[in-house]
Amino acid sequence: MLLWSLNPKSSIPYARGNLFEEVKLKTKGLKGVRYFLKKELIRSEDGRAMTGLKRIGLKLEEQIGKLLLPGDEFHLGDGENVTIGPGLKYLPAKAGLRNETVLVAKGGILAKRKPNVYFMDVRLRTYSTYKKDDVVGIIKQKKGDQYVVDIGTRDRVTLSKMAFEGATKKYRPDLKIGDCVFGKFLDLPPDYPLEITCVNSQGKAVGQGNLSEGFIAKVPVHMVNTLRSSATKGTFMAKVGAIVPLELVVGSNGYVWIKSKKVLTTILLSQLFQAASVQPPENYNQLIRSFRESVTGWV
Amino acid sequence: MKLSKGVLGLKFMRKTRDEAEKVEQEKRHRQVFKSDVGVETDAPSSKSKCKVTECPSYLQCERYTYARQSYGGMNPTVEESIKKGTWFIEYETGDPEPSARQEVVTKTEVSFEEGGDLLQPKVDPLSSGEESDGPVMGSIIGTIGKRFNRKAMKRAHDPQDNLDEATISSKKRKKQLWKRNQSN
Repeated sequence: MLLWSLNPKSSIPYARGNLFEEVKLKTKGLKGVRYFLKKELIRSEDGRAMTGLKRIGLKLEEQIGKLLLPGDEFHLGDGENVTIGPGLKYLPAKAGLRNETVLVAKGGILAKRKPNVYFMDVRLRTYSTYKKDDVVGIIKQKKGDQYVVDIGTRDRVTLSKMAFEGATKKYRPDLKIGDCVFGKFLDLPPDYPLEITCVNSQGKAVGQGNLSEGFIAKVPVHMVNTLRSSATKGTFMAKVGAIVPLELVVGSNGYVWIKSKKVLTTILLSQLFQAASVQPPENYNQLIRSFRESVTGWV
Repeated sequence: MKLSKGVLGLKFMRKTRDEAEKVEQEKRHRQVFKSDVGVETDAPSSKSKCKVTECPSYLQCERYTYARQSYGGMNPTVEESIKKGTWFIEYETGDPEPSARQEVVTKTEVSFEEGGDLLQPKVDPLSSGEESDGPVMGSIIGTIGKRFNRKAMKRAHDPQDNLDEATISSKKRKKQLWKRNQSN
């Protein structure tokens, strides 16, 4: 992940450095400590000098792969057609106040995907819900015609007993408390209570529903990117899958359901995912190598 | 059309009056929010030329693979259905590679034909078969369709009914029917 380039020991320079002029103010503190003040050079379009660390008038294309802090603003040109993802917010133009702007809401590194999709690459532990996201959850309660499912968010979500493939009023799946389900969010209007479903728009399960056996590991939300990478070659999961046969469901909420032929491999896999979530991608190969060594002999 | 206050005040105009009041109230409400300093309305102005769509989900932006994965033959059905493309994520911002999806579909069709499964009828893409339009209704359509098929099959196998109807005159047909009834 890109954020590891922020390591002070790495060779990549601090992204904001070239935009500021360092003005050294010698002030004597209690113990003679020198204080340094950074003064911004950028001026706004109407000529006002901006003070503080807030940056305005940035271009989206120029800042790809660079660190941005909350409050930084991008200026959109005429006729620009963009899709903005998590961590960015759109502020439409207001006469006399601002032009078309995109505001950075979460600090991180700006990433771009084709075509014209921009979002902030942020290391997250909390998951914020969004419609059509696929999630893994645990049934916590039965409530009439519904199950109450825990997906790691503040509020628990509901799952209708009819939202399974082939379920009728007479024949419904009988799930128990503690069972694991894989579903996705319904596309409901805002301010509705959250609800998940285990069928797609055509009424098919497509792998969703009850997940029997297996083990649930909880990983940070940014780790989902590694586990579900759509790269064609050399992905993390392809390398792990070559060592041990396994089946897994990675929910967008950071819950990972793992199933392998032996209990010990399942535990080792969950430990591998958790270890990888706090390591930079350069160390993944080393982690996988040590995993292979620990597994060989009894798989 | 705007009605006068006098007309709206009549007893039978109550429903229309309520509707008009509701519209006015909404209008006032919107104005209050617009003038409020603390609240900003995010409706884009008509002058703006750029088009910005917000999509606050990593799943939609990053183009992940399908959530359920299988490696090393742990669950062959999962591996097959992802390879064939029957399991896929429904993206908001269009298909990532529509050409790739089309390729997969055509390949499966070809393999079905090559397999020489002649018992299976060829599916018309325009008809509401299980693959095209109504997969949920597909099974019901199938069961009802079977009834008609059975009748057609019976007719085909019955030697007496197998005669070409166009070649026989109506008089002859009546005779045949009469004979059959007598024999019965």
